[in-house]
Amino acid sequence: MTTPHSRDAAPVTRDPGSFRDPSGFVFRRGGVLYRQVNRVFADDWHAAADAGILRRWQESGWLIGHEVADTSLAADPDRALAILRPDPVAFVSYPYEWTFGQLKDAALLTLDLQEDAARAGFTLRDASAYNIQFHRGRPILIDSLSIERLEPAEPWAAYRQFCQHFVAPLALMARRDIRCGLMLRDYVDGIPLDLASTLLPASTRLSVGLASHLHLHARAQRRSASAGLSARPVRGIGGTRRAALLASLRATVQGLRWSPAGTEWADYDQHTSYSDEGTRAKESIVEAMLREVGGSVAWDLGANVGRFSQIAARLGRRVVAWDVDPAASERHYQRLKTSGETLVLPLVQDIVNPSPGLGWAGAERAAFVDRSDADVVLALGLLHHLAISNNVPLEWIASLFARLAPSAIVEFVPKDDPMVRRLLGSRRDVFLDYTQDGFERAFGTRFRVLAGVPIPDSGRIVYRMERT
Amino acid sequence: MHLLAYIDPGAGSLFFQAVIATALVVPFYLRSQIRKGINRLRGRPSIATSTEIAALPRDDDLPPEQP
Repeated sequence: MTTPHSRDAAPVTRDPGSFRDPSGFVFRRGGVLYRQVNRVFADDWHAAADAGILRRWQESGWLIGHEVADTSLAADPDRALAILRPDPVAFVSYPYEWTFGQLKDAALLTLDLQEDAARAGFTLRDASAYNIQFHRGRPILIDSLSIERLEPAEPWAAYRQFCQHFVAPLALMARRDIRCGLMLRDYVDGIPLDLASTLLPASTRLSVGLASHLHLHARAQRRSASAGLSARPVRGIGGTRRAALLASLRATVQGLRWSPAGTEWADYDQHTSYSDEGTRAKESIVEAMLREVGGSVAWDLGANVGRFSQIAARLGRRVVAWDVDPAASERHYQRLKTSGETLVLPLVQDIVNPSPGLGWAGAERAAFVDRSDADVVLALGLLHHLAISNNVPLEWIASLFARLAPSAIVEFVPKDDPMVRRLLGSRRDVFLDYTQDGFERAFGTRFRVLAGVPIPDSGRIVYRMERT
Repeated sequence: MHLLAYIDPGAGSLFFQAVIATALVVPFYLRSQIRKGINRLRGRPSIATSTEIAALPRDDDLPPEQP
């Protein structure tokens, strides 16, 4: 949405995902990201500033940094109290793209924030998973306005939201099926507790935390809805009760564990068809091509556990590492946490059915294809899965890659490769154009092939190409 | 509730929160006392967890800690 009135010539565009909170909103002016703090939020804003809580959170790495900007930059001057210029997050991702570990870490950060806020006499106004982004490898709160003064004995207004955004999906992923994380795509305000309660195995009722915050909570919501109760003031949640609730939520979240194994590609990295020489050669080829392409951002499609994402990161590229397999992405994330790598962000994504635009007017959460700022797309060991497993025409694959980045490094995997033979093992080979010539012809409609380097001990070829 | 409590807290959730927090407070309090007791027996200083620190009452109707 572009508003015509502004105090300078730079166009103002309000972020389509920032509109629910009357205390302020995010906008861009001349391409620079700002957050407007509205006057209605003045008392809480000044109280938080006086308490130094936001500064402490920034110093702890819990809250995105910001500078105070001139109020003349306001997008809505009549309502503006202050303008902030937050540090930009390198890449915006969404909870339905996160691994189990990422969602769990985001939940624990939210609890850290709420506990710390309570110590200082404040509370989080909301507990949306969309308030968290992954920045330099760690979860971080991006909404500086998500805090307000705590009134005596006041319940936590965001308790329901925390349970729906974090407890329910984590429980479903850990105790039912890891793929349940995708349900967050359909439920933008978190998974309804009654639905989660229905889907979870009966054994979860034996867990005090899940029985309390999920099953009984769902039942209370149902009873309240059927009784037609409206919200009325609830009191009696003082310091110890509040702490007990948060401690229970923390124990519940920490108790939810998922082992990243048993999926189709969890262990692929250890069972490839390459010889050791072939593996080393492929790494050298890809590294050399990345050096030739240059740029600062790489998207690694089909990244698995990030072997080639690491090569790009070693060259100083910021990498978004996408993989359809939640176990592979989770192993990747855990490895990055251990190593402290900050340039790579692993995410779960099915390229064949990627995240669409979601939320209000389909614009609140941007589509996968609209978020790329990549200089190069890596598609290694991926093409045959798209073309053969999913019957996507090679020209259409080329079109997608061209949309994502000006350069591409693509591995062509021929039909006599063991992996492709496996894919064709139980089906008729209808892929008449899936040949090296057919690949070059198809990609030649969108790219100029600059190099094609065979991998020793395999029939595979790695291509470097540039969008025309 | 704040004027700017812009999210829907859910009537049922608010009431449930009061109930469950009351139910949880006794085991929470006992656990913290047991932890302190164990630390004292081991000769360690009594180190509160972050949630226990957060419990430092503002509006608590439980009896104060005995010295």
